[in-house]
Amino acid sequence: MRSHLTVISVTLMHILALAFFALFLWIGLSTWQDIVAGKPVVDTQTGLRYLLLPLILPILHIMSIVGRKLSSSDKNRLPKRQGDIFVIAVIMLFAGGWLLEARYFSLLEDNGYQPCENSSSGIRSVFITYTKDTSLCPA
Amino acid sequence: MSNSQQLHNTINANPEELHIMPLDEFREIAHKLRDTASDNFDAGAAVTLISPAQDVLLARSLINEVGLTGRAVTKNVNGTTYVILKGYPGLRQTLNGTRYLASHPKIVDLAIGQRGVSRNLVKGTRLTIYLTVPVNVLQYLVNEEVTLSRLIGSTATDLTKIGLATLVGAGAAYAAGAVTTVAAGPLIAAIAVGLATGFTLDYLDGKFGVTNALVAALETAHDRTIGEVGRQIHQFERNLIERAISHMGFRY
Repeated sequence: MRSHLTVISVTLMHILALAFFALFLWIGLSTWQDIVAGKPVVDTQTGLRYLLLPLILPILHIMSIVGRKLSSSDKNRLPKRQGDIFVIAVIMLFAGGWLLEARYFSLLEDNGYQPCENSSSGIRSVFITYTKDTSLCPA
Repeated sequence: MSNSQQLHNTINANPEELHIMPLDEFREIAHKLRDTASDNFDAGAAVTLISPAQDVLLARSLINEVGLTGRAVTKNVNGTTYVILKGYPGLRQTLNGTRYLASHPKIVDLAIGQRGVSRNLVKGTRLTIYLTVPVNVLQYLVNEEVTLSRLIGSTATDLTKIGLATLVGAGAAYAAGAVTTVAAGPLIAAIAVGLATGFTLDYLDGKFGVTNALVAALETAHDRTIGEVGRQIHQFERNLIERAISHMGFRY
């Protein structure tokens, strides 16, 4: 019973982590399509970087599976280096997300979009409307 | 001690400051606050990051305690859950033993194991709620365009989002505890998945306009109940006045 619950929750969390990554790609792609189509108004929100962080779960799982498979070999140090790999993965995911988000907003500005003054906030992000013509900003 | 002396001491023991200002002055301060807030950062989104920042600090102290390679295994023996720490106990500052009960205060404080992470998540959620609600109220007070329905609607959706993000974060901590023995794994997984869930709920809210729909529904409900009663009272008063005038024999 307990192991079934564990398997279900682990599978669900992996699916969720991949869904977050897919959403990251989807937001980036749809904004790119809006830019290419020359849409006058593009709605964006900050905090895209957070969507990459849940990938730490599949990384942890792969790490532990690989570690268990290789643990039979005495010379292999991977199981003992799990903590190091984990910290490097967290830093890389966070820094990567940060850089990609910065690139996302600079892409909009490079293509002549400007942020509107009015913005609203959610719990993890700020909604900003980018436009080529500030008269189109929402009131 | 005389009565007046006693009264004097009582007052001095409980000092309270009260600032009274004219409405114009408050409005001026509110405008300044609003302009400063919109120029520099968004207070609403900023305060919700305090709890994840605290979690990151906790993860740091956990890594400091058990090391980067610190590993913890949870084992259930005769219905009692133990946390077994790998590595040399002599190198650790607080956790000098090799085996602790999962409910041990030292283990719970460092958010090791399911119980520790859950307690930390609840603490973080409580803090976020304590910060989010006053900020929403402050934004309502300083912004002339925000209605009471908007305040209630946005607070309700914010609290729902915070609750859902915590729930998913707890699930992630459980899953991480099942797949890895890295001591900081569940805590970091809970932070990461909680942040991503919060962002996604914001995205879905913006896309489908849940908060706006709730605000509109509240305004409609207000209009149909309190608004309707107000209109009926107004109509009743009007009719009463008209009838009184017509009884008096005036025409207008």
